[in-house]
Amino acid sequence: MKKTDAIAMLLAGGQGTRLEDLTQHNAKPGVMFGGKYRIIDFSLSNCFHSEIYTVGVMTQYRPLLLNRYISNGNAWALDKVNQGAYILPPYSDWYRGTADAVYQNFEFIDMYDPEYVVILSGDHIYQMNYRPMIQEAREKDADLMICVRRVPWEETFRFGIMNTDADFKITEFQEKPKEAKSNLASMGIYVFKWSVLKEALEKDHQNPESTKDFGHDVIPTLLEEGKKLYAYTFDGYWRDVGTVESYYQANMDLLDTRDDLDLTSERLRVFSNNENRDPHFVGEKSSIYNSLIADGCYINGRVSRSVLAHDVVVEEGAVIEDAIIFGNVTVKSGAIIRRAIVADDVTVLSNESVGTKDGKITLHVGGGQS
Amino acid sequence: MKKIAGVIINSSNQLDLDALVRHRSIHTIPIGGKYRLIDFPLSNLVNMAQDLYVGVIGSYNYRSVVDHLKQGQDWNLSRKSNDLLILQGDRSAKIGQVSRISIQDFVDNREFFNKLSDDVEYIVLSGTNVVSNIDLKDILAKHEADKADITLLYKKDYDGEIQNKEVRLVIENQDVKEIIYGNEKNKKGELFIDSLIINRQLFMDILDEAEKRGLVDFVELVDQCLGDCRVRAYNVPGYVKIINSIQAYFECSMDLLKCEVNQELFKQTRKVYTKAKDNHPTVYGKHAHVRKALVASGAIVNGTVEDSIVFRNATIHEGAKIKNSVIMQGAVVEPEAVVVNAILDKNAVVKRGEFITSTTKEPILIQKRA
Repeated sequence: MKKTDAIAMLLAGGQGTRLEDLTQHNAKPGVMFGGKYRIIDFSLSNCFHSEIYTVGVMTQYRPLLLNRYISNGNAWALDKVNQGAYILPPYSDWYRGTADAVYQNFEFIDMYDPEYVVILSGDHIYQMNYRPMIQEAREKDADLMICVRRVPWEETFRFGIMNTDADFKITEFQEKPKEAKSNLASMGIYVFKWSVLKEALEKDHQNPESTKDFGHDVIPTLLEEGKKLYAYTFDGYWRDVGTVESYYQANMDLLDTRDDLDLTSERLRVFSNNENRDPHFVGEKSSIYNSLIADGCYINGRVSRSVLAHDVVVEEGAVIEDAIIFGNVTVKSGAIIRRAIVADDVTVLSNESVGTKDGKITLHVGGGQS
Repeated sequence: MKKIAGVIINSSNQLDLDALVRHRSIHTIPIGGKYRLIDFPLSNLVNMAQDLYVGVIGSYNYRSVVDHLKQGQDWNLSRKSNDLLILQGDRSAKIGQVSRISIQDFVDNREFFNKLSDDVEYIVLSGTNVVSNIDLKDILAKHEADKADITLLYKKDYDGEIQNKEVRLVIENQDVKEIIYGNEKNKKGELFIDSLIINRQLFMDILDEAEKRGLVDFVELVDQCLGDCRVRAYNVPGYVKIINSIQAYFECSMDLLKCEVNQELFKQTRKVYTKAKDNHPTVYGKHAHVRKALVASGAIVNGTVEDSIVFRNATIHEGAKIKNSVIMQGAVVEPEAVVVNAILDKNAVVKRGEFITSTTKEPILIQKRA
């Protein structure tokens, strides 16, 4: 096989317990986002735009929906001859950490024997071309390039913080520091030289003390060994949608007009596995304001600042405000939904009021039946 | 499982569709926000049988047909066991022959019929300009139960415009007694919708006969069979619209805005399939006012839209007003422009402040831009 310059390994095994009931039947990367996408679409589309056509998708927790969805990667135009998206479930031992997941798929990567391996996470919302990062890694002859972004100083304690010299060479790594020396936070996007990663994973596997995690184990070890680690700053929109609040906020961010998160732009377009649905129907009594509406919907009520997935029915007199409505939801006449997330297939009855004007975002999964 | 061969016929020389077909085949006239005319007959065939061979009689402007259908994957026709072929066609029109269903189109593609596997028992011919969700499975069941040789599809009491060239049927107890041609205006009959089921062997015999005798119209040959063969008629229930003029196209578009027609065509278990595209959900801006409309994904709506169809990737800017119109894919209506009773073809642009208005009787067509 012709030597590939870079392949991606995408971590999609996360349980996503902090997304509560949204991950009841589905792994976190498979959760609906923005009305027609799934969270993982963003990373997979980024791969296409970066001309990385081989993507190993490491699944573990509730993988069935995700496996079916990803198929061979054709939805993201990754299905070139001998390339594509490959589902990589654990086949002998459960993946014990991010590093272990990649370690267990050692032979997969070796089949391609790439120059660089790009490690990605399947639960981030961002539009990014990884090529300039790979290019910079090559120019600086970096063993590992870590994508970072500046976070507010008061939030540094939540992140893995990189301290660098003027050339962005990493001098120190602080995991969730009480007193940070820099505000460059790791985004969990790594470009590794495969030769370096291979050796590091082998060593980490032998180490009984290791928790098998990139941030916790592999990166600190490489730094100790004096390997060349560089930080690469990314200033565009990026959000880890690990909690209900951040998931909600990221969806709402889609409703603002901004250049660095733009579903309508041709450049860095987000692809998804399209299903065949009819255009949505807007009735006589509807009003729709600042919203995203997917195909198949029937809208005859009031919708504002909301995201509606496919085949949602909003009857006359129903009100939806600041909400995210999943597929096949029916909102009966007279029902009110505010600042809430309504899960798939739920019917909101005409006397029901879901959500509150302020406070925590309400997650509504219906009356126990689905 | 029964095997069927379906042929979508091309009757372009019979129609008065003017600029809508100047740069495209009749098959690919956009309709209903995201569909093309051919999607209806093609979906009807796909919904009829698991094992299917489909031939589409192409036309002089065949580029748009190939672009739309590709290998048929969006209709589930690209598996190894299925076949979708674009056939050469429309030669008769070029040599000045006028026929309802051109024999020349079948003779030119004799190879397609000869190569069908032995277990194909029936051939279904479908007109491409018939907007209807037809249960062909039921019609085939009747065809078999009746031990018919040919079953012709018709619409009882069709209330749309019937043009000179249409063929009508005199029916008694569902037997076809007589075929009436356009010029026989004084005779009464039901409208034949250019679709039929015929036993394969008979079809091949008719083809031989036609070639021997130099006949040009398949309908005339069926006419001559009336005495010897069992020719049955089947009234297609529900919505049927023949797109035979710009006016009929416009009426059909307005029909799709009726809830019951919309539901009947698009919310059946028999789906209407079309080419999938990577579009974002419809974006509604802060100045959107939309009432009674069919809006496809990929559209951006920030103006006023009433009683209209908005296709994929159309853009309606702030302050623009659209009423009783069809805005095809990629069309742009700039701020403060007014569009009433118009059809904006693909990529048409209505400039800032421009007025495009007409009457419902004679909708204006703004031509396609490349």
